[in-house]
Amino acid sequence: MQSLEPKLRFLRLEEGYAEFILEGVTPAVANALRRAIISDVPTLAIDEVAVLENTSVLFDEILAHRLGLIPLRVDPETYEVLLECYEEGRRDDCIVSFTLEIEAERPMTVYSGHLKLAEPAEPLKKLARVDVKPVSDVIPIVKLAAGQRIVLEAYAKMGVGREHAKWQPVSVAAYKYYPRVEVLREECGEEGRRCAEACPRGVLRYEDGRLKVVNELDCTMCRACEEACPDLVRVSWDDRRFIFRVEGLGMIPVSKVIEVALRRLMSRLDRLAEAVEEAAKGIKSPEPSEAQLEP
Amino acid sequence: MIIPIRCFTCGALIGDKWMKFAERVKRGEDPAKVLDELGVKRYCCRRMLLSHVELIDELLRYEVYGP
Ligand code: SF4
Ligand SMILES: [Zn+2]
Repeated sequence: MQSLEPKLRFLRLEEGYAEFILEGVTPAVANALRRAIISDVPTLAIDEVAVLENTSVLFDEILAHRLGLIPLRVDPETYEVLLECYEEGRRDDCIVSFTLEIEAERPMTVYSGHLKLAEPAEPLKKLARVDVKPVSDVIPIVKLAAGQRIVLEAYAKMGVGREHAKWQPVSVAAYKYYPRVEVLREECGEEGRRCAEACPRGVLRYEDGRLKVVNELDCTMCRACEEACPDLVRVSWDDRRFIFRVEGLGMIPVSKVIEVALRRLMSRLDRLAEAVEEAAKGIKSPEPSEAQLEP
Repeated sequence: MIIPIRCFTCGALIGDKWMKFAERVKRGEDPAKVLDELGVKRYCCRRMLLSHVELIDELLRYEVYGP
């Protein structure tokens, strides 16, 4: 029996991508983390649009939907303030607004880079700077013919992925069991070559009549190798160890996503514990029976 | 109509890659190579660009707002 002391080790950590090993937890915990990352980390996205003028070929609501899907990068200080606002239930007070005003002189594409940040809302005024902008300046919003006009205001609010996918901080958040590939007979001759070639992920290598495992972590546990040579390799996995892959959208760094997800998961559990305590208060426990008193 | 902003399946941003992709493919480059170089890895995202038809360009021809 392995110890159940949770441990997390990064294999790769970049601003927009993380790969890590989570060990000493049950699948339930790993899945809770995955789900929290996808659906419970608040981010900022355009949620309301006031269209003053739109003579483009796209309807107002399509325009608004496209604006909502643009991922917005938020600087760390602003994010903290926005997060606090959201968690206190004041999301409608902490709005970041943009304006878009364009008239085409000749056929043109309107890009996310054309969005202009407007004066910040009251709770954000205490910050030295509010740096919120689309993660890319070349996301096409709409194309205009000569003479067409768009004038609108867009209001970005905090929200979570559970409500709408535009608030998801990541595109991919997935895990797999930690694979274990065992070579049963290293000296194996030509059969080993067949085995190595059967693997679609290049996990096995055949060299000088020997079969070796070269990068176990890439194994997807598809068992193609086992099928090709059942008496040469055995594939299994560790169900207390997980390899996570998280790909961010650039709104906030992936490390921050993981941190906030865990924190919100924990505060959810704390609230549950409090609720249980509260509910148990009114109930008088019955006199212990004799059977229960026995050690 | 116009290139979607996100991949329908995984939600990754793909809209910003359309212009480059379309331009390079039109010049005769291999779409697979262009996608690799743009960093579009998953096939859900790749089909977004690969199968897209930018119909909005056709519509704009009939717009009469111009002088
Ligand atoms: S299970 Fe699949 S991925 Fe893993 S080593 Fe065997 S063939 Fe390769
Ligand atoms: Zn995708």
